[in-house]
Amino acid sequence: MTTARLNVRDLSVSIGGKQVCDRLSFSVFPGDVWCVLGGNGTGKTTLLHTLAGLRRPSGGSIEINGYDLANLSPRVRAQHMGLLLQDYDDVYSVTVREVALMGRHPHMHPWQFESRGDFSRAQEAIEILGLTGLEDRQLTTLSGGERRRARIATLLVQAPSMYLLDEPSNHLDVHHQVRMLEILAQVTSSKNAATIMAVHDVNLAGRICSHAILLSGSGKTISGPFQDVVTTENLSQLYRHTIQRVQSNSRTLFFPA
Amino acid sequence: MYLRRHQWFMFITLIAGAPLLGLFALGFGSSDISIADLIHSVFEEQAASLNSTILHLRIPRVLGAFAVGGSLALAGALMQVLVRNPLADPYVLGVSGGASLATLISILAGVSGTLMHGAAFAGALTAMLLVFVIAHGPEAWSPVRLLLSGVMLATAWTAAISLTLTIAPEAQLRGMLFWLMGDLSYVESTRWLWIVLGLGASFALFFARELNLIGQGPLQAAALGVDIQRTQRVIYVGASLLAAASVTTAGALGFVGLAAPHIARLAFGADHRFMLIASVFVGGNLVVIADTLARTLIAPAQIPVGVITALIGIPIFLHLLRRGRV
Repeated sequence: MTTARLNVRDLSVSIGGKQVCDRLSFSVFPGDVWCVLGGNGTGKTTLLHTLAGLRRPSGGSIEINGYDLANLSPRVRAQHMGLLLQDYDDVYSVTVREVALMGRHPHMHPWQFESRGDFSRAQEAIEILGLTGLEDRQLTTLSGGERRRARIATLLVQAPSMYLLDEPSNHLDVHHQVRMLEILAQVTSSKNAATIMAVHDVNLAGRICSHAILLSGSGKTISGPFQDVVTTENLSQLYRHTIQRVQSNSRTLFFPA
Repeated sequence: MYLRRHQWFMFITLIAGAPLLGLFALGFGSSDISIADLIHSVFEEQAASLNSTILHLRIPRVLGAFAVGGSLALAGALMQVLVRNPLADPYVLGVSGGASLATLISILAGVSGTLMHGAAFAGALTAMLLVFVIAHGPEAWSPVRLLLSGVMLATAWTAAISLTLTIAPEAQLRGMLFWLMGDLSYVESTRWLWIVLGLGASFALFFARELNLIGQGPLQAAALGVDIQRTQRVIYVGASLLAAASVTTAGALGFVGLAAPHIARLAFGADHRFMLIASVFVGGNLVVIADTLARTLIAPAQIPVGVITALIGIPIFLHLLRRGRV
């Protein structure tokens, strides 16, 4: 049996007196892509930040590649897991190449400078994300979608074995949404990594997700294989709106009634 | 992330220019010394000439000018990352306010020399601790909380300083005002300032790559493996000590701490591994030039050095701003 990338046991998380999850347990294995679904303010971001080790849970344990997350130093933690934030505030301008190279930080010593290898990794990520030609542009001069892809480039350069993504399709047009999912699916399977992402678009998630966690906002959660969990009944409850489904070319699509 | 060829050229010129500038600065003053005389008197200690006497006065002043400029620039660069605001300077959290009030009170009490410098340093540290305690509160600090606590306390210090100036006798007012504008004529020993600058620069360079990440936001830095609380504390203490040491030496010299980091950033980019070193040299060189002009332009009278740093620095800054991007 392979060891789980992420092993979550009896996790309880609350924020501002509100319960996000109560004794939630699940295991994420290499190659898995999980999505976190839930309405506004149900705690998707809070759950991701807790899994990323940026805030302490009120109970339970999180293991990353067999290590207790609470005992890892921030640097080692960042070697195992990478987090794409929902939003970035660009106060100080940096170039696309600089942003991509930042992914190397957890792999370098304090006095170390980026090597040729690091530069070529950054260049590779920039090409994969279709940012070629923008390497020396300041991030603040780029469009929202281009900035978003530059931040994803950081993550690809960081090359963790566990990807945590907070609404990765933010700011992206349809072409880039699909392309980004393809890249993530490809990276997840070829590098034996795993991914958890918070998303709003169930149909987009359905393209690559193997599992899902539904956050109700009251502490109640449903988690498991995508097909079992993402049903019209569960989604209708989750979004407090009747959700219907259609079948099209072997894909199941959901839409609000 | 690395410098281009013309940037390397500027970078090396900036650093190599510092000792040359220092030598020229030693030669200029109310009484001129030629470079040849200068080298002669530096190497022959026994030459009890007029020149060596003048040098004994000028060497600490030139060394002090560079260290003050360098420390303020470094402190400013660190504060700008810490509070995530490009308008931050070394004094934004009120460090100079505490130092200034303590100094003015010691001038009022007729104290001078080491005791006055000690009071200034104690005042700066008090101001720094006050902000730390207030900003920390029940939860961890945020940049905005830190900035607001600092700005409010700085305003309180300013009020207390104005009050002190109001009740101060005429005779002491001129000295007080010079000190508030930044004045290098009280400089005696600069050994401590250089130690603080050396330690501060080493620490800052050690954390330079982390500073690059913190510039992108504390959450992003934490996600990439930065121990954000530890690094923020180190930056805060380091920047405050640098500001405190330089205020103690030369008074509340303005502008350098705000502009030098921006000049360095505009010329060499945002990577702190280069930008911090460049800031130290931009700030140091700027104050050396400004102080030389301050004591020669209308010699034997002196102009407060803060006036000249602003007059030279602002055109450079605006030129770079027009050409580049912030």
